[in-house]
Amino acid sequence: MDLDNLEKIQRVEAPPFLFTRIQQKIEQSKRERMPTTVAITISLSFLMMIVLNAMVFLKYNSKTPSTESFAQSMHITSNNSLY
Amino acid sequence: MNFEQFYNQYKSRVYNLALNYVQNIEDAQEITQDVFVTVHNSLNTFQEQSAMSTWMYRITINKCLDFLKAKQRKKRFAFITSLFFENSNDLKHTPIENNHPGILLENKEALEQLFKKINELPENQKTALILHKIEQKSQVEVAEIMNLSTKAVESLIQRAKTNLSKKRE
Repeated sequence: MDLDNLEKIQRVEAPPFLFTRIQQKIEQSKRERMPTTVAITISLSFLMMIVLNAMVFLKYNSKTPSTESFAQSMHITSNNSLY
Repeated sequence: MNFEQFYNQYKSRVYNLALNYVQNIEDAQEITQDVFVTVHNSLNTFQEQSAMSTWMYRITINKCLDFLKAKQRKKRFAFITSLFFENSNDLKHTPIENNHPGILLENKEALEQLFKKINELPENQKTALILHKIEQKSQVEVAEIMNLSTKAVESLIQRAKTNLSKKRE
């Protein structure tokens, strides 16, 4: 049977330079990896910025007077009719 | 055991399994590197529920599958770009080559044909066949590596054989 040919495949040795390359890749991945504390600080800053923006928006948006009430408080008319 | 000792203990198994999976020296070297970098970065997550060798086999198989999928994706988009460099007749992409160093010259043609058919099998059938027939693992060991029952492995190998014989006709 054809499949018996698979048993004739010989085992080979890994090339000797492979370990050096692996060490280089490990060093590279260490340099690229962001420390956890930095990641946490950045995400907390973003979160704070979003919360502050939302708070400011809600505060000023809800208290902005409508055109009518603003005109009334300033004793001016809000239409173009003269009489 | 330090990392170098660990590497020396498992390098041959990882490299040979990768070679049998992708049948190309350069690709197998790249996969082996990826496996050991992953292992180095996640050694502390290893749970002693399974043997270290089983864990290594699982990582290697997953890396091989990821590598082949990425290669397939690249190939799918290759038709958009030119095959040759602009000012020369040199090929931009090297053709997929079977240069398995463990195949002797007298078996080369037969094994190349066989691998061509094996590569067309579904992933789990190919994995079971490689582990059982080339890596010489028992069905129980294959079942443990693939996280399946022995019956399921037996059925996978049987289906792989049936599919291969269909392809031969």
